[in-house]
Amino acid sequence: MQLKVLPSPAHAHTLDTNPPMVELRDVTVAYADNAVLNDVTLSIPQGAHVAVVGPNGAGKSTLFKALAGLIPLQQGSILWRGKSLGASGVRIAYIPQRCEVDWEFPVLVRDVVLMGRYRQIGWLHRPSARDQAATMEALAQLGIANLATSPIGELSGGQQQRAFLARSLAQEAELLLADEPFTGVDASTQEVILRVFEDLRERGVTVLVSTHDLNMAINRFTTSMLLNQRLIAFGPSEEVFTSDLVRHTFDSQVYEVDGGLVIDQCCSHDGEFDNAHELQD
Amino acid sequence: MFDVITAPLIYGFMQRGLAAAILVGIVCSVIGCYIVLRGMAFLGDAMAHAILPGVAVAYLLRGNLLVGALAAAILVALGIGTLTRGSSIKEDTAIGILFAASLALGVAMISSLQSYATDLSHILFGNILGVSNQDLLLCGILGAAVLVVVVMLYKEFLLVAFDPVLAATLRLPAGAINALLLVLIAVTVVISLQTVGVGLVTALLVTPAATARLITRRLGTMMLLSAAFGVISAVVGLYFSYYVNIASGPAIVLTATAIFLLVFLFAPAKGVLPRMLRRLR
Repeated sequence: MQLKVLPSPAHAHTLDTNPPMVELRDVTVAYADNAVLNDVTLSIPQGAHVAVVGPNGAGKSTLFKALAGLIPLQQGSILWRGKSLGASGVRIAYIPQRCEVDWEFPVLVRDVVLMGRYRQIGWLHRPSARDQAATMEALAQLGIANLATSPIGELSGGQQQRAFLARSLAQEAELLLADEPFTGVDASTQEVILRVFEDLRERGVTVLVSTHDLNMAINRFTTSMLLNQRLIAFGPSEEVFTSDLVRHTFDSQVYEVDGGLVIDQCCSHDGEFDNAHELQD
Repeated sequence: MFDVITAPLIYGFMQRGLAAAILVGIVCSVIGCYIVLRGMAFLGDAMAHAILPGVAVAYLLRGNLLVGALAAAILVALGIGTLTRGSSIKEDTAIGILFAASLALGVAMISSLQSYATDLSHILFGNILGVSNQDLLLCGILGAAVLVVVVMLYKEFLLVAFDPVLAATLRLPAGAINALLLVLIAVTVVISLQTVGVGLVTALLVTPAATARLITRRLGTMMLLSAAFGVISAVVGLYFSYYVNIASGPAIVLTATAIFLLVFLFAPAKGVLPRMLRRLR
């Protein structure tokens, strides 16, 4: 089957005039000679909100790490606002799938969120009143202001996810990369997170969110990307999620039930792959 | 009553010893917080043994022991960083190799001296009552420098210890910050040489910090409490050694261990006994 990269997104008339936030050209990333991302070329307009969908081992996390400038590329190049990452000065927030932090570390939730502002605070300086205010505001927006002085280790999974999202708000990022933010969180947290994304869209922040929830991608994101080591489709969600393209992305793990698509991921043989990436980090 | 405290201080060597013990108690306990939180106890121990050749060379050349130790310690700190960076040797293996080899080299060199046994025991277990004014001055300057760096780079050290991924996304030079931490640990070990010696310095680095960890929720408070425990151990240990006539290094370490055991048993939230009581209720 041919690769299908769809024309520019549905709200193209507004986005097309925006310069690209990130451009990938022939990007290949490999771990120990196993290519995880293969020849990905794409351009994400500033202010776009993209759901990144693909099976386990599709390279979603790898794509995000590459976009955050955290891993070297085997081939190809990435430009942020037309420049290298250092030169562009783009503020990037990256929320990994599972933050590999030491949950026993003696820090309060407030301290963790404040870390997002270390760049603004600068070397040898103490946080200003503005930094403190931005921290509290971010916590309030995620509905966890009451947890500000709790140790990070005492939070539930959903609350931790909120805290790390609050941190990227405090960071005042221009590009937000959230890897599976909805995995393992409760329904109310999911709604809060979606509301925050909505708010970021209004502020013109570029947001990429990986998810394995097709319905969420279709219903809550205007733009979607299908990824399975190669870029399979990128464009308006309603055009991306055709049964052919989805089946191509997920191989044979897709079933049609009541006219909708269901993906069976429990037996994914690529699962080992994903673990392999985590070991590399 | 006051005689008990003031009587030993009529001797100049006791005054200098006390000052050195307090200084070492503070610096070790503060930097030890990072060692405990990052699980680097083995590294602290290794560092202590690895400076032995430097001390031996200074001894043989009749130079200043502290200067020899400092040179060796900084070499080793940077050596561990280089050996592990991007190589297939794991950090603990690299440390194990360096640590044993340095210890062997150091002992081999010292063993060529006639006063072998005394000299070796001073180096291994400290000789606090032999601290000269010159030593005290040098230790004071080095200790103050360590504390100043810890305070000035508090938030950078915190971030690199807690969340290296965020540090990388914020484009902080994590490698340089880690190397600096190793150098600070090395300097601290050197300062402790005369007080508790190579063999026991790990205890001063780890025990007060581990004690503080049991009763705090923030790194800043942990450092202050740890320093307090370090000073108490140093002072009580030194007086104990004076009155009971035992070696001062071990007395200081045993005092620190006793405090740890007390807190470990009775700490309100994490203590063993309060937890058992709560379970019974």
